[in-house]
Amino acid sequence: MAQFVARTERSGNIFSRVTGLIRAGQLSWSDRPLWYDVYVSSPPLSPPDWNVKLAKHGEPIRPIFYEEDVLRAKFYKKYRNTAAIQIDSSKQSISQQFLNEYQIIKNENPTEENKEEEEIFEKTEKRLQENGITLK
Amino acid sequence: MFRAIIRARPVKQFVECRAAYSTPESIIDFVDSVAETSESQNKSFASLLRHSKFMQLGDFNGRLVVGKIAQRIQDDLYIDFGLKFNAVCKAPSVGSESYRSGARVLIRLLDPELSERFLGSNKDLTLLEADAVLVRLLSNTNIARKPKVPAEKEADKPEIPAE
Amino acid sequence: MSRVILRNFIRNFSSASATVPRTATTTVTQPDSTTLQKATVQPTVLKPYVSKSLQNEQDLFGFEKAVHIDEMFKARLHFGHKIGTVHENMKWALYGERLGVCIFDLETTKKYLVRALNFIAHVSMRGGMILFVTSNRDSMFDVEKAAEEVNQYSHVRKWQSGTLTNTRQLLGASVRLPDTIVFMSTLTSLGESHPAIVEATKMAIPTIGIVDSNSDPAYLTYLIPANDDTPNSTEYLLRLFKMAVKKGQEERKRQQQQEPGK
Repeated sequence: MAQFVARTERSGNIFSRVTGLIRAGQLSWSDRPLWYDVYVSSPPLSPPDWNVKLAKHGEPIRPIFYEEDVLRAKFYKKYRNTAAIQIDSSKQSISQQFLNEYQIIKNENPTEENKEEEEIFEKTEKRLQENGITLK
Repeated sequence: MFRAIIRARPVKQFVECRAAYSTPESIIDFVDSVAETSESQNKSFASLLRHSKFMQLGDFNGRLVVGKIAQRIQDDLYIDFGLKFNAVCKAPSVGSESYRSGARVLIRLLDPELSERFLGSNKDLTLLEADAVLVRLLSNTNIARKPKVPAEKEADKPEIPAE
Repeated sequence: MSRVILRNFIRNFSSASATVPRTATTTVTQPDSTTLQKATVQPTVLKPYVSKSLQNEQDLFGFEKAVHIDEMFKARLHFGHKIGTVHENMKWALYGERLGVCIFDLETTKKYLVRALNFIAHVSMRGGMILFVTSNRDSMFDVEKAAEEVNQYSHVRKWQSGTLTNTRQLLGASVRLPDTIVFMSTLTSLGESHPAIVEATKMAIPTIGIVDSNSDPAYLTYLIPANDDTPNSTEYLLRLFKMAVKKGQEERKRQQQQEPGK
């Protein structure tokens, strides 16, 4: 009998099926499965039902983009062959050093806020070269 | 100037530096990396992601990336470059034996995951590997390095052979 | 209940074996039919009726403090697949997509991971049997080894249909089924859900699944949205699962020493 009820995996999630058995008297409360109490105290965060639509079903995925990506793209366009990145190293990539330096230079000249971006870009190039970073 | 700084460094650091393709560490760098390690435990995911190397890659297509040979099966090199999948490249016939597992290589990344849509399917099928072109060997962990001889030569080499 | 029927239940529901110490033995009130009905929608209404160890401390084993976002990040748990392969029921777990690559929100992953670890530890504390399953060939040896290290079980080869549902035919005698199954990857090489997931659900065995952005979470009980392809990620998760099993076992030992009569 227990087999009959238990194997209909679409009739409900495992918890509601076992609970149903207990309610119907087919399974005694003291013989409930070992995991049952744990489930009660911390049930799954998402409904464990096979046919539910979880959040954001059918929605577009949000693109991840940041402000700094614009300058980054500009940098890579020019220096496609310089800035090799080692992802598993804690050392900063050249592109990031460039971005940081660019920001510093931009902040250094608050009065010239409307300065051409080109000019800051060139200044940053120069600054990095002075620090021994060869850009090609 | 580049050479002078390299000479001043201990060998191990130099190797790391060469592998990372970075030139001298400035004080700014140093401060940054220290701050990173002590703070990272409390950083939110959003902040970790934004400042990650993965983001610093920008558009992956054509980006130069340093990887490590995770495995070599005959002439196929499985190169781990820090993302989800390894890149699979053929070992070149010249100096093939240096391309051993553990060696650092430079690759040009084309696609972090090869996937295709087959006819009649509404989903892409993933091939579970990245697409990249092998550029050259950077170092080989199995070969003892002598600090003097090859160091400067390597540094003077053009970083990328003409394509 | 007669011994025979009881054994049947052990097989079918992987019920607690007789040796498991239950605080319920001190005649705790049983829930009535109405409460049980409510519980099918809201399981937590049964909380007053379940064992003492679950009454107070929500995070008895301290997993909230053992799981760090930066370690998960380093282990590359956040990397999903290309957006073309995404499963609609996995979008809830994503932070977004970077130039076509799905990225999991590790703050979400952490919540789910902590809950799953807590579940494993409590099952382990109750003397439960845990089976680790993977269909990923790169990690099968790691999974086997991890299970062995904590005296649990693994299945990493081809799944023979009926392994859980048809044990009498396949194995002869009645066999104790696992109390929890942990899937380190849920997709087979053909891109289908692992056949053991539905079998476990049929037999009312709770499942924990590492679900990547292309996985189908259907039928799984506890989900952990994360990268199931990169070895670093699997190794990290195995390390945590081992820790959860061990913490449960240690707590069980401690309890048994405290009340040697049981």
